[in-house]
Amino acid sequence: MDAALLGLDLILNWQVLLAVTLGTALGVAVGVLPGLGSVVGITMVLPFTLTMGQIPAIALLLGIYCGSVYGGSITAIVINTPGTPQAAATALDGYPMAARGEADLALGWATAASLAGGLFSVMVLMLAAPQLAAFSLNFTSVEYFALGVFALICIAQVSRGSLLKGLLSGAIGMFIATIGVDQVTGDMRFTFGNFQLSAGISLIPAIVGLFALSEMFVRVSERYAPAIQTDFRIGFKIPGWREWRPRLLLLFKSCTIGSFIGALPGTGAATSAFISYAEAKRSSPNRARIGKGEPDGIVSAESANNAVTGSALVPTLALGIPGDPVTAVMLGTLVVQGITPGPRLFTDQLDIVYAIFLILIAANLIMFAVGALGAQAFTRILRVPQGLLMTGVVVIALLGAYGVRGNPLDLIIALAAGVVGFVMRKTGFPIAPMVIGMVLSPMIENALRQSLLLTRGDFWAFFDRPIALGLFVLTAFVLLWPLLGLAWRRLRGTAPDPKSQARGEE
Amino acid sequence: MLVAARANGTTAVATLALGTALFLFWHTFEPAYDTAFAAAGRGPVFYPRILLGIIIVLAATIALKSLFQTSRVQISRRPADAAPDRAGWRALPALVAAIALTAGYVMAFSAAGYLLSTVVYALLLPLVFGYRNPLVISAFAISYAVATWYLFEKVFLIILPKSPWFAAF
Repeated sequence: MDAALLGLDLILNWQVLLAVTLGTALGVAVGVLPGLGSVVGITMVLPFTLTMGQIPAIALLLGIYCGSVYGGSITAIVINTPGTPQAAATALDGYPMAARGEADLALGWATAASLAGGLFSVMVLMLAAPQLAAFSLNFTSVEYFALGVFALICIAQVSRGSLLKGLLSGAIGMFIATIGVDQVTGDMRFTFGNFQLSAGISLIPAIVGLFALSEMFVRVSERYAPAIQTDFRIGFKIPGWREWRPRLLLLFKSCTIGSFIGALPGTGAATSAFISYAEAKRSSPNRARIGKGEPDGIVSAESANNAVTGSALVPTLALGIPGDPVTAVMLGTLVVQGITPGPRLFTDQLDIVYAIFLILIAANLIMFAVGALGAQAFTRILRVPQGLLMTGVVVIALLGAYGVRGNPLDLIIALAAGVVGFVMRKTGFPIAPMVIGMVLSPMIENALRQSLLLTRGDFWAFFDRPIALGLFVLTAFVLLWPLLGLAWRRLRGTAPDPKSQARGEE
Repeated sequence: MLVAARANGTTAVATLALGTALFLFWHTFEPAYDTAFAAAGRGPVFYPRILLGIIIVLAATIALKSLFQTSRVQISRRPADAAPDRAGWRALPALVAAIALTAGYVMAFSAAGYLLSTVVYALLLPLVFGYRNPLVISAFAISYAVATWYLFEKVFLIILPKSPWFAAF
């Protein structure tokens, strides 16, 4: 209780409230713009966090995170173009509603469902994270090694593109993180005599390049594509209690699905929204109308994708293991701010943990107000010429890459990562596993080397520990899942035709 | 057409990753890393070698799979497929210009200072996107560069690179 009061005391000042309000508003703006997602939004404000205090910096980032997940729904409903992948399922029913003149109501459903999902996930975070952190105090380096490998394999598995490409992307990310000084022996690795490389490849410039710069290159390469039609007017209308009452069970179910999926590494808001949408389509009393402008579709998708925001922070805060690129960037920023996520955070800095919970609640409430008051204003951002918008994004993102260490090499790294990210996106290699690989690699390497010391070099002794064994079995299951699925389809005679695959029907 | 291009791209990326990984794997046997043996094989390149081994296997598998797929793809000549491809080629000079411009900006960031390099970059990049309103571009480039410079240099006290020609910025 004392810690909760201390947490409240930490957030009740104008800097924190301003940061969370501006962060949420900026997050909604970033979410509205197709292509820019939560990661680009967070990388844009990184330079600002460098000189801010711990709590205002966290407030800014969490505001952007919550706002951007919601913001994508506005464009999904109004112009049938999801601002973020998370809002793709929302467009399926939101746009048909808008097309028949109910855009205001669709936005009301989406905003209220987003608020419910966001608040539900904060409850999940408050209940689950301390338990997981307490449980993880039993972990040795062997369990952390197994957990790191499991998280990475999950992310590679569920990323867009093939599993092999995801694994290669993750492995390359892990290797990049080994460049520089070896933390155990102090030897230089893969620096080829370049002194500046001895500090290693920093995560933030790599993320700025992989996400912000590559997005700019992709947009330039598609500059002759048809422009988005932005000539419209919308309002905002909250549905009444009589319309909500029959949908409460659906709302609860969608929040639960979103929170559960969000806590798993690598899944995320887009996956949870589609799973929840599919469940609504299966079980809703209004399932016949889903896909044709039925509020159930919006409620299921929007509550589930926002329910991810809190639960995705469960492994990040409790174990120090990020579930997706967004939480990876947040993890990096927390470390820069002198906060080390992991079980110790819940014993040594409990007031900060409670401050994070309270900021998330505030961000969700502000998100609702911003959506209700400013949906029309945010859609006007789409009218900003793309050339000016992307110039602004790239300049501020590069400033963030430079500002972390003040090292000009980081700008070159960002540029190189931008070109690499562009090529990867154009050839179907997912970027997220590379980022997560970079984050997890030092932890996996340290855990592996410590574990081998503990077991005197006997790798088989890793399997003697039950939790680690369970995680290794899960990892093997996730890796073999595509093969098992293929074998099952062949058994049932529904395997895809290899010829049609060869024709490229991906 | 698009799939064939993507398959060729996949082969190229995987082959590049394979070549780089093979070189780096060979590099781990350089005498500089001999401390590995002093630490019972758990030296600085123990873990990178595992990763490089995984990269080599994965990259070779992807390259071979993609090569096999490319050879089986029946390239479609339908005009509908050709249209986006033409648009892609049409944008190639702009893409090259955007990369070159950003590379120049990155170099000028330290050499010419943040403010001057940002003004020039913000003047030129919108042109690459096809935006041609000189008045708006000029106003945006100057105001955005000055605003961000002032905010970081004067308000947040983050020291940004200065130009060699002016003492203030």
